[in-house]
Amino acid sequence: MTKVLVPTVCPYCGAGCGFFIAVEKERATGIEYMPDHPVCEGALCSKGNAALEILYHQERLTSPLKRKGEGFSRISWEEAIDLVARAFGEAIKKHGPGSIAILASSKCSNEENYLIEKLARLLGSANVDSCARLCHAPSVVGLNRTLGAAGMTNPVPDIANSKCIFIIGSNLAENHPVLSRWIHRAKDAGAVVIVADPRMTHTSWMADVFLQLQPGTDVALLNGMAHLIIKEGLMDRYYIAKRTRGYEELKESVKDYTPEKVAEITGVSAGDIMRAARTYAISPASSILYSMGITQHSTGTDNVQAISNLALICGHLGKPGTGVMPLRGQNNVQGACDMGALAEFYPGYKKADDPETIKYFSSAWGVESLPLGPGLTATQMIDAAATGDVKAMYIVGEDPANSDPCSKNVHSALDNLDFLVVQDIFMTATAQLADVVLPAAVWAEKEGSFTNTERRVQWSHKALEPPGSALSDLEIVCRVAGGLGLDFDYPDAASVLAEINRTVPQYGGITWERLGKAGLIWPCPSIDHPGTPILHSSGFKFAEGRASIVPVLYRPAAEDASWDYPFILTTGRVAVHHNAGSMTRRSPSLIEREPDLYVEINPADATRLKVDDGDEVTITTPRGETQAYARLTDSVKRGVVFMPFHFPGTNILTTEITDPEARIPEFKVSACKISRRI
Amino acid sequence: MPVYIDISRCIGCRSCEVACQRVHDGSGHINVHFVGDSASIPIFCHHCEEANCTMACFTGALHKEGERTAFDVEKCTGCGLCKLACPFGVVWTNKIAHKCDLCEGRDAPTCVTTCPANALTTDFELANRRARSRAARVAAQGGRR
Amino acid sequence: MIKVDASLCLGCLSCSNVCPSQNIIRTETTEQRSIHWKRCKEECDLCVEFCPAKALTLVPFDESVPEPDASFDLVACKICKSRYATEPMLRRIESTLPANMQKDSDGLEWIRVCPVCRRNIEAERATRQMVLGRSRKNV
Repeated sequence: MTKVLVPTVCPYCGAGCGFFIAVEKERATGIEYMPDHPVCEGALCSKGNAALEILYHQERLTSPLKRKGEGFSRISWEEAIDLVARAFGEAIKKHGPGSIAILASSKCSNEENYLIEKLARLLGSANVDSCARLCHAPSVVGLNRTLGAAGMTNPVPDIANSKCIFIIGSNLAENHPVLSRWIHRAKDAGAVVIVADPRMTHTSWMADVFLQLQPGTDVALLNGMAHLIIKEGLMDRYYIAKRTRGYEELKESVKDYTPEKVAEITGVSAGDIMRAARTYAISPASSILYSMGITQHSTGTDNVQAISNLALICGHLGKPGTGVMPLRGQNNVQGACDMGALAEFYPGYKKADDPETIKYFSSAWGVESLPLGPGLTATQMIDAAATGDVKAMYIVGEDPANSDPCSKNVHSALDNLDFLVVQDIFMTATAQLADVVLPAAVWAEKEGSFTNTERRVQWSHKALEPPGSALSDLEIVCRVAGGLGLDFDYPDAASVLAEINRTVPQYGGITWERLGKAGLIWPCPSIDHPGTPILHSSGFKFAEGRASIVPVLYRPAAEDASWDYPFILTTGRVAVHHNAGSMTRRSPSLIEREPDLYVEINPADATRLKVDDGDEVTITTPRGETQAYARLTDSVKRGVVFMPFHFPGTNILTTEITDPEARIPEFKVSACKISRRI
Repeated sequence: MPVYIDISRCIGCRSCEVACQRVHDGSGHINVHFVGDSASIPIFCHHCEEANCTMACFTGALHKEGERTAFDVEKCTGCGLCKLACPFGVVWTNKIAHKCDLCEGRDAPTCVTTCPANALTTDFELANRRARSRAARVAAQGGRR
Repeated sequence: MIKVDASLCLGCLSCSNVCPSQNIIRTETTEQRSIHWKRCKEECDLCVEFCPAKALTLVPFDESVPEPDASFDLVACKICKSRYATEPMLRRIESTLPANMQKDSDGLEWIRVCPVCRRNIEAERATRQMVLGRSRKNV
């Protein structure tokens, strides 16, 4: 029996590990590891190891569906496309193209995301966005402003060259496990690890200095570190003079952030702040790794800029072992952003409100005009659906009913739409609200390029056929476009990539032929360009090659503990689950290891609440209430509680308040109260 | 060669558990245990030189083959004495016994390859070097780490 | 048919597992294990051969002899109190292992502890130093 090993890119996180799917007689029979993969070296985390468990799951969507009362009835693809085309056509005719909104998917390939945003814009709507809005939108906005590019500046294996690794707002041990091997390699070579997190996470076990700060106080901490570095003269004067602009304003803005003042705000001792600051500045090559703990705040963009400032004044950019590293969560959220599935950017980060961008793409796509952005962001789309400004939505591979904050409002907003079509692999909570459901293929059942968090573009090959009448997202989007009168004649993913090569300069040389084993890291503008693992090594893409230091001031989080809601709820992830859990909660190996929603409570707080370990408790915020099992642990300080959001319920509680620029909700800080369920 | 663990590298991701379970048809032989809030460690068969399980096994199903404590499923009667004899609790019974077989027939033990943190190894020299470096650092700091 | 020397029976269920005709019935609750050997006419001697304690013999079929029964209270783990083994099985382990291997380095009689607790103890012992270091660092 011939066994074929098909190379694919893991569908889970942004590390982009590769592994082979063993296929025998057209069925996936196992996984083989990929020892020469540059990031994972053959390793694979628990989610990757369980990836095959969703392939043949009985709940896979296999047929287009149409709403019938409370349930659905199966329909043909012709009817489904017709319904979608008619609904969208009507909305555009009656209310204008601004009344339709499309959510692209961070699990779809670059080619699919490119077509999705092209579809929206060719229909005249600027309203296309993706879940990057809930995740690294502040990085996209903030890093584009300060450094001129939004993406991890150095590749993952380069972490091993770092001498000081500052991990802030990231639990990478559980969410990007393979990065741990590179951090340990750096430690073996003498690196110091600093971890800043309100919780004692598995990642903090690696730390030499652990800063357990209060949720939402990151700017204070980072400004405090900058203050000390400047006061003790530890900054890189040469780098500041040559490669930055704005240093004097920063120096002025941080002059009051003394270690003592910052200790008061953050709850971290002045001594620890000083140790961390000195280590970061003095080490010859320091890198900052950050994720949701930095971005998911009403001050997310400020947080990112504060990180960028720190790296710039110490000159820790542009060389091996340094860098500013946003750790992207989804397997292709970086790619979705690169392909312009963002309200404020067209592909290649050309600004949507720039007439030059419109000219460029009108010419590239052969049309007279295109909508000037910015369009509605993912969070604004929900608001607009509630007010009726958006009438029809097309949601691809995303579950806002579980991933967006304040679930109650999301449900009623989506209910209020005239028409909702959801394209997914399972009947998610969002799909439950749809008028038409389109069954899509999973990663193993289609091919395309995916861009991981290092900006590394890799080709994932097709191993199997999709079940029933499910189709690849590429196929579906082309059919929907066809139904709406657009000519999306792309026989395969490679043909879309060829167009991307022509229209996205950063991907200019990333052709299908060149995407061999190790992928290519953008910017890669031409066919003979080797790719750019380390960004900014010869300056920045701004005038005089200078990055912008953008001073930011500490602003408290939108919510604070109060008499009625005395605890601060912060949310996050665990190792065996992924995001809203639509895939991992359906994987037996994973759900058996973490079956229920829980809330981490400090034992001293639990005693006062008369709550024992394992008791069912009710957590309430102004938005609503949820039940969970109490887990007593010292990893959260008194007054702080933690819940993973992989189970429906956590986002019933979270706040809708967003960062004013990046429009990302403040998932990490909500005020709540807890009581034992009698 | 048996598998060795670098305890400072374990991140509690449980990939070894899921992988072992996957390649052994649902019956895994490695369990990650969490110690309070500050550590995790996978517990698995040591392939002891003088293996209690082989002493307790009255049919010879469990026996030594070189360094490996091997298991011949044909000879097992499911008595469960091996499970009680193992001081580390890493022999399981599910009608018949099952335990770590060092992934015989594969290139390398699956847990070793899959561990994202590179914490498991069959290389004794490497494990020894890591453990002793760590211990030396502890000794230098007066036993503090 | 089967004759059982109850004083030798360990309660291990080997015989029940190997019997090709389901003549040996086991019942188990959380606290107790009971075995019932039915009158059998089979001429195989698998149960005799595969009894670790040599507690079974074959005797001529006799309707008047009552079918043998044996009952064992499951022993509770010293630490978590879960019931995990019969007393004769634990005694058998204690007799097969040398005396100096029956207490671990902390003096615990580990045979009287269930496999789950044994793993936990091993985990705690192996990480003791490192846990101390990590918690001191975080104080």
